[in-house]
Amino acid sequence: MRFSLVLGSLAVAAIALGGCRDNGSSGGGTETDGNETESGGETGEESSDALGPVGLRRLTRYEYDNTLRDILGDSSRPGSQVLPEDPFTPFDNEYGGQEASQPLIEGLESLARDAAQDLRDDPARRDEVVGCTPVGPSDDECMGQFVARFGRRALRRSLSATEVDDYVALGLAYADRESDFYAGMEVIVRALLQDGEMVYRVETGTPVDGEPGVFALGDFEIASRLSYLLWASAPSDALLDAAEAGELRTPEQRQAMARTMLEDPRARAQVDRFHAMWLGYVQLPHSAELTNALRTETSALVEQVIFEDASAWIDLFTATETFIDATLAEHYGLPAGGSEASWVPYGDSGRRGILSHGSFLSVAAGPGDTSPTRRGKWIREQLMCQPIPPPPPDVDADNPPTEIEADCKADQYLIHAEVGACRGCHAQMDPIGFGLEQYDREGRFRTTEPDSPQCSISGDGELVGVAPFNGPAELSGLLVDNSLIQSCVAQQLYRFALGREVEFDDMPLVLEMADELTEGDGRFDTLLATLVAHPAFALRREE
Amino acid sequence: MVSSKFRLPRRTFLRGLGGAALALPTLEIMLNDSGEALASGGSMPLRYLVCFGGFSLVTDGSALTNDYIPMTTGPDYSLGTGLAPLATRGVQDRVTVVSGLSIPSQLAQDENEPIPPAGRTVHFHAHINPVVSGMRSVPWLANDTHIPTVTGRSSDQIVGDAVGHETSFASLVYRAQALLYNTGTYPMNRDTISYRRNDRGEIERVVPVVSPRQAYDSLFLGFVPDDPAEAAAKELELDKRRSVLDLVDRRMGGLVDRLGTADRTRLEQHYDEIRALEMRLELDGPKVGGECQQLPDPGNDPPLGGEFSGEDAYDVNAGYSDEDSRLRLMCDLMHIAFTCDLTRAGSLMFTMFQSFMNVNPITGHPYGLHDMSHNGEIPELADAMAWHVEHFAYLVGRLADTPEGTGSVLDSCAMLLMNEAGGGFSYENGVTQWSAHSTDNMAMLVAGGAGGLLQGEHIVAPSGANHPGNVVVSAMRAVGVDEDFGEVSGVMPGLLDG
Repeated sequence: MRFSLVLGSLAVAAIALGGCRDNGSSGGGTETDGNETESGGETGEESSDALGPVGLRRLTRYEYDNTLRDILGDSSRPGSQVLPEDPFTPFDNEYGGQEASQPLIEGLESLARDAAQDLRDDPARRDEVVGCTPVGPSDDECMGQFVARFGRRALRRSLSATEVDDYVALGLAYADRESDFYAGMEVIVRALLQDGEMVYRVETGTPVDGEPGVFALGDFEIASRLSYLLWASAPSDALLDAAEAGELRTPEQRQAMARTMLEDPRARAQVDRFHAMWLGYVQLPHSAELTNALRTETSALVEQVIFEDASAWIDLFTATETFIDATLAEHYGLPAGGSEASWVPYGDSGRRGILSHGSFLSVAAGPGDTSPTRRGKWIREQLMCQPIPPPPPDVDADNPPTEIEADCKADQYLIHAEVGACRGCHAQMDPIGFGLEQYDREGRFRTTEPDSPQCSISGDGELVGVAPFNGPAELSGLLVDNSLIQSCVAQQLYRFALGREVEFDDMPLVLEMADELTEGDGRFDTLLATLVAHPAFALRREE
Repeated sequence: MVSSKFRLPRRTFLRGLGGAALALPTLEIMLNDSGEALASGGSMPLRYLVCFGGFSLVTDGSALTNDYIPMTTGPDYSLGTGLAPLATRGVQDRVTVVSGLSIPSQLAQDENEPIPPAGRTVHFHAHINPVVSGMRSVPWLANDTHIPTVTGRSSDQIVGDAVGHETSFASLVYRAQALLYNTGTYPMNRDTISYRRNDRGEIERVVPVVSPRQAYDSLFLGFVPDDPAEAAAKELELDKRRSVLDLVDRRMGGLVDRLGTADRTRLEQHYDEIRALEMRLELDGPKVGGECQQLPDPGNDPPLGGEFSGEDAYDVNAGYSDEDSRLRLMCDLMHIAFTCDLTRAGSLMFTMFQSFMNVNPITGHPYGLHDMSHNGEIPELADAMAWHVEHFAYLVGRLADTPEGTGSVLDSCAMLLMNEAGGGFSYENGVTQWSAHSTDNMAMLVAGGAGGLLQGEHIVAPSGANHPGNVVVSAMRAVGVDEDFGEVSGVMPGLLDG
């Protein structure tokens, strides 16, 4: 359990401290006193030990659009245009920031109206959704079948007979009035799409004996947890069937279901998007052409490592080749593979893996050029899970001090090391950024500063507390070899899965997940399977 | 079908809706013989609007110029680049410039160093509170979340609370900038200028409507078309909405009861908003006629742009969602809302605090707006000022061109355009003389003739009454709301008769 102990001290320190120390010793995991308790159980039979609270989550705009696509066949993604923005923090699903506002409610109402009317005007889609052929406007039998079928998809559980009757009554009133069965369908779809159980992921469950505040999730609730984690969308009919048959209750059953679900293209999109949000390149500040090329490159690597090769997840950071076309090869200064994108070896270019990609290197730039501080902060916080406190109140981060008259960036940044109040935190950030400084904010290689050619860029940096490095390949090596990034991604994935920041109570399960990466087969799909198989995944602790 | 339930709302979410079943435009027939007041003896409706732009008046290191602050005072003041649209729109004689405004600052970051009333901490971005609510910033401590908390009602909500019961909408809260354009961060209250007090006595933000389409749908909800067939179709649609929401409401009531305390609180907010919408559906719309006409359907919103963080992306839609069109439409909606007396209080955020919006499409200069204030040239920044002023001037002109009584709708308006910062000494580093992070040398545009507001002049605030909030207080007084603005109680001398 050596790894667990090291990871435990690191991860807990990251959560509990969030400070900057002048000696920079927080990185190496050398402070373990060896007395921590062991991390979460091997089989997890002790259930709720590894269980922090979780609250009511609203579908994000992204999830809402996916859900409409999957339950209505509507791929127009209207929610992203109409609903209030979900900020990326870095994930877009943190329920603590979700507000029920007038714009949200009116947006949901107009979205439901449009989706229902579009469905009514599209006979092929409409017939698929309805599932039966009405014999007349007042065909209550077909109306009932439709409600049961579509209601189950929209509310992600089977409806009671009373509930079906309520919707049928609504539908028949308008079917009669307009002498059109599908007028009834339309209002039913509108009502279901605005329903509390459609818009929110409602979890109640049943109380667990002897564990106050802990509830065992219902079968359908487990199905939704699976589908929104792995697909960012509603459960399929097959998943709902499995829930109804009670086939998601044991860790083995959930693991098997997760393996099946990971075969679906929706899982690939979700895993890709998780990495994009986590590493920050979900939106790129470039032209559409460059953005597409960079996203294609990174998505190809994620897909190759996690799904095609199904190799260890850390290969994302150590990959020796990259998927680029001639234009992007020229951009990077790499040998061109061909006009079509293909795998091109990095050779001795100093690049390895995803941290060499223009997508990642675009993140956390400053105005005009890279910002070694912002890059370092991003890596420290997002990739190492070590929070850096905000600057002191009397520091204007938009206007760094200018006492040092210097032409070259590296000299200008020396002020951070000279001023006592700055040094502690900047020592954690700036040297990381300077280690990537030979890569501009589009990921191109350079050896001199763009506006000051007399200033050469050494690319020398340091992961303070660990080791010096130069360039993304060496940085990746340090993050991987010291298990820093494995520990952190486990936290980040857990945060993403729960829609909130990781708390102390969550750590046993987080550590178990991290162990999976360092001691198990190291695969990301295994990490996901570990998470869904854990007993905590089928439990809820009330806030 | 009329909703059969009509339970009494458990909360007072119907601020401004309570009891009011009518919202009629001010038609000629309702006026007295002289056309200066309502025939019923009531006075003409007075309207209040706060607009906001996330720009400063200097770029870092450049001294204050006359691009925004006129060189001359009094009437026919000189117009620099930033204010030029006042002339091209022909509204300079309706717009007063108040310059010399300042938000006082704590002098040093020390817990023993007081924060002045309605003042800010040393940290510039904490000034959102005094700008928005007239309250002093909450102390800015090391290791806290550094979200600039707002602790008082914004002026549009103060006015809305006072007069909103007269109209369909107690207030309208819009924002043109569609997105933050900045990933990896919380909004940090940069995205909102309206705050109200909720039923628990807490100050909470009023989430602005960002989609023009949604704003349009909501505003014209109660309009009955002239054409009988169209009117019947609209009535059927309204009826469907009522029936659908009735079922959604009943089911949500049951759902709330099944949840634990924290989840219940979350869902109750949603539930309250559903019921507020149901109540709005029960209101009679305005009588269309005269100047009060439904605008043509704007269609779908312009597509949303992605993140923007640097000038190398200026030629794409990164960081820009056609805010120019969005803002124009929102001005049109605010104009018709005032004209039809659908609301008497509004806020319209053009751009956010610390705005990351790409201004290249609207100014031809490759920056985000925030970046431009720090790293741009003054002439470039002046073009961004002018973009804001152009939209403000457009709205002023629309209202001026809309007859009401013996004058125009503008005659009964008090409108403000405030911006994020002035230019001057940096309290943050205590060194820089010309910082875009300064709340000295701020200025505000005031338009409209409500209550006899001074129009078409440039005045310089006297010391002792030079907080932007003093202008706000005067504007609120102009629409008959005699309340303090947070910790600011005095008026701006010379701005309001008497």
